[in-house]
Amino acid sequence: MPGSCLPVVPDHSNYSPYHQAHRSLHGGLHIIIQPSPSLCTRCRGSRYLCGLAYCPILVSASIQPLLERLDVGNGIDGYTPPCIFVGRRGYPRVSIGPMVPLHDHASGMSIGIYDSPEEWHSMSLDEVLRLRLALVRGKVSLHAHDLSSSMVSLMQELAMADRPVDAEMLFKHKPSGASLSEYLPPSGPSAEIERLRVGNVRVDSRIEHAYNDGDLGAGDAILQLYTRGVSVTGIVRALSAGCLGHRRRRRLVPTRWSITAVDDTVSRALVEQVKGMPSVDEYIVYARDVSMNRFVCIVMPGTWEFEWVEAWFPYTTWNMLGDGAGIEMVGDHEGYRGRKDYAIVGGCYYSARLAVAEHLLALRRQARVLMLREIYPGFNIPVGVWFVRENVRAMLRGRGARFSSMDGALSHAMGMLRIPLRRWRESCHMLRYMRGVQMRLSDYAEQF
Amino acid sequence: MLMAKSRSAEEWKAVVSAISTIVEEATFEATSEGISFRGMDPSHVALIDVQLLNSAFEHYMCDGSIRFAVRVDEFLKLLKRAGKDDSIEISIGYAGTESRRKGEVGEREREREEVEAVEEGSMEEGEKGETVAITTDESMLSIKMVGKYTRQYKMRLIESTSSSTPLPKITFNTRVVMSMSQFVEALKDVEIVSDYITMRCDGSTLQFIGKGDSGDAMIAFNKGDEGVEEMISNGESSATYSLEYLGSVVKAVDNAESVVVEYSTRMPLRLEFKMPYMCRIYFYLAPRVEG
Repeated sequence: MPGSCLPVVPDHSNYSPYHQAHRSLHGGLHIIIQPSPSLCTRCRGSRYLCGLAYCPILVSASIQPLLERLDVGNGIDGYTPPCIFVGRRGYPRVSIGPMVPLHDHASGMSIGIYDSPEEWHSMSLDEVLRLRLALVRGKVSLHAHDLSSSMVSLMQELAMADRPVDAEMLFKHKPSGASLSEYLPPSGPSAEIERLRVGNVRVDSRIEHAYNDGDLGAGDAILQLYTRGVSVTGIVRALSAGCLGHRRRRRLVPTRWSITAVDDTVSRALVEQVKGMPSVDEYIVYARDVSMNRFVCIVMPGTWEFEWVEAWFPYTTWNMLGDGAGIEMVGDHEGYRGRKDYAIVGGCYYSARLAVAEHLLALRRQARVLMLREIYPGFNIPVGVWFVRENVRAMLRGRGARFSSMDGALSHAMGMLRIPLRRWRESCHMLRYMRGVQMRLSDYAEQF
Repeated sequence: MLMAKSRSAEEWKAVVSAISTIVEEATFEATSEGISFRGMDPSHVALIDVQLLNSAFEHYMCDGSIRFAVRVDEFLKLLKRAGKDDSIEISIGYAGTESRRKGEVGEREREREEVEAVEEGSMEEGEKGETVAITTDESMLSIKMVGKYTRQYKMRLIESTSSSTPLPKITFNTRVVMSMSQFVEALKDVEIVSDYITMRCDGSTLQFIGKGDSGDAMIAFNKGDEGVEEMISNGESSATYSLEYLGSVVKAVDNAESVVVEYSTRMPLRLEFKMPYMCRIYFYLAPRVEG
């Protein structure tokens, strides 16, 4: 599996097969780039010789038969993990509906994994794609402010469910398309709902409590659910379906926006707590390799500061169109007082900040945290910010290498990265100002 | 019992918004000499020390020593409702009925209030009595603003913290007194290019230097320039401070007339903001040291 160790990725000079690669139609999935057949016959899905972060042939082979079963006439009958989706296109009119997997499951018990990004960090990208692309999404178009329809109350019930729910959907037409987004987990074909039937729902009492509290603002509700142990995905579902917030201000929130809203709200609250804690007293370097991505995190003594820098190699998701020569680097930084504007890098900044804040809170220490991510050729599909959140969480659960000096930490970190320090310095605020350390008044305690 | 009345809410606004840049909850201490606050931000990088002397107020009463704590943003929100020319009265457990028993001072105050009420013609005698009666609650901070009409707020006090913050005892090698508006402008000049400001002074020139991605900035003030009241330096001092901390506090108290800048090489900075009233605001900031 590609998760544990990085396959040798050819230098992009001999990477031309991809430049020429054409897009194929694997079961309506327009996103997969076809590697050369001679590579595939040697690899057969086992070694990722093509350099992609997943095997397009295996993913498509496992999805294709399922997709063929889809028809207008028979609709889909199964369990929803529970999973609901609110599309942002055309806002304030949104499309909302449940998602039901095509796979056969005797019972609904193992189905929760379909909408639990929290558990996907240990799975390969193939497996995640196979799960998610087989999720069929029903849609109904509604106004975001109109929570009176029976469809909304059904969705709200689903969003509060604490276990998979029996669901049956009939469609107006054959479901088609698939969605890959930078923010959202991948999802399979979708279609307008003709009829929807949902079985009995057992609701999560924590979410129900917030739902019944019409005086609790959405921000406070998010924090309350988080402190009570509801997963980020669970909170996102509830927020999307309009279950949270002051009773008159509830609305349907597109899933994409609601993910970042939850990441941002929770991490900001955690960072405030962290700021009251003493600083770490050594330099700690964490690293993680997963699916053609390398994450490196440097935790440094000092007051709270956070930076997230991504380096997209040629022929990766967002660096597909260039001449294949340049690495695109983009990042964002916040100082002690946090930030007011939206991060240029987007949602993954907030997801990473959440993972980091959780870690510091567990250590009961504050720190300056620099996170670097290199994305290598082959990672050419957007998979959603969960990928960043869950992999950073997993990375920080691991053991870090400890150093007493910045130089030691930095050279260790750079040893794991392909881009040289000089290049990082150009786009990284903290590395540029690395030499300076913010002192504390208590450092002058002998003079107190 | 505490009662502090001032002709304008401006100094309260400046003090509380300065405090709001470093803490969320603030414990004030009131004695017969005045009201004071001292606190550090959670990371111990910045410290604010404020004294509102009793002479700063038009009318001031405080029996014994009272500690009271507020949520700073709530307090600031209420204070911001006061207009520029509104008088403001901050009190705890102060009521006409109680102060009558306490004697002359309270009596005079009550009379004055009655006169105001009559002048404005907005309140009936009975109503007045009622409003005053509620203020006796010791757990509430009462804020009364009188302008074209009277506003009265009650704010719940929170549990006060007992720990006291010591002041860093540092000797400063450099001392510059300059006009606040020039100081504010100079910080803004540097902020364009950098998040940090380096101050360098040799006794005849004070330089503010910022180095950033887009370029460098250098602002110089010479001894004797307009707006520079005083410049003394024992040797050359050079130190760097974070504009993130500095900028927000300075913005909060920009109605100060002048500022006293004191620091030494690689040591904390102390700013004293000279407010138009008898109010002293000191701001301490730890330096950023190049490793």
